[in-house]
Amino acid sequence: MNKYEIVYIFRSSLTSEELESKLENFHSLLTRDEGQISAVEHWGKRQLAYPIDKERNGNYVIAQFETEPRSLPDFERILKLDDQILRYLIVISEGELPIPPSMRRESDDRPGSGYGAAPRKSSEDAASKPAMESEPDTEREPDTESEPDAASEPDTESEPETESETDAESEPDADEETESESEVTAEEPEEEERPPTDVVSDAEELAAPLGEAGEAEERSSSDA
Amino acid sequence: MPRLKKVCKLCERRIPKVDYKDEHLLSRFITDRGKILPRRATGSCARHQRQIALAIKRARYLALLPYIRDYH
Repeated sequence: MNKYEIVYIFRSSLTSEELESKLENFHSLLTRDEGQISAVEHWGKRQLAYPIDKERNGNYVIAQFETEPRSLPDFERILKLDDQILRYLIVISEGELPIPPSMRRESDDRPGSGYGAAPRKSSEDAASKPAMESEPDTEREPDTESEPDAASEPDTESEPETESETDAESEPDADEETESESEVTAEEPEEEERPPTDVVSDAEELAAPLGEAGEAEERSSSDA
Repeated sequence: MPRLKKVCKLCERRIPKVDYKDEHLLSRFITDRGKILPRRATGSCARHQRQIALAIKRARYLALLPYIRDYH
């Protein structure tokens, strides 16, 4: 028995009933010989970073399960035959994965779907999230100043993100004026400003071959 | 000005495993064109850089991150 995690991307035209019945179908293949589905999470519809099969949006579902490795080939064959699945990825599960904060925010927009996570308020967040989540706010601030491109681009996808981030920053700043903060600000401007600019010029030259290579590689690895 | 030692951001934040689904975190390790930033630019440690690279590649496959942004 091994633990796996699967991400499905369904066509966004699929209704929720169809989706549920499909999931039930697929998962029955896994549970046949003593497999177990431990968690199913619906991210709902979200925009794809690039069109897949002419689709611009996809319906994401993530499931964690435990099954014998020998049941996977059959399972994958069925997934490949289903033309309502734009893409799927099965990986070995790395334990209970925390829900990424970006996802939590998205589920707030759609009350019907998603995790039903608590509404994102900066003060609550700092308290409720594990250490790794509440700490970075101090270092995130200098980052956005020195590296505006990388930091601001993903924010365009969802507006609340920028708001909540600045909220979260301003709060801990007040009570967390520690040495570590001043250290970070002192070091950031020097190290972060230069590299992105020269890499960007590279990116333009190499953009096409890089993308193809990367795509091919991922395809083959998911088939394995 | 003396060059200060870079510290891996993920070590500072005590992230044991980089999650390929966290595209917000991963977006800090790619250029605005979508390339994976080298360690010399981010200061990541070797272990985290390997995790980041794998996670970004998975995220790209799942269309959470672009292979190339704004390429025409």
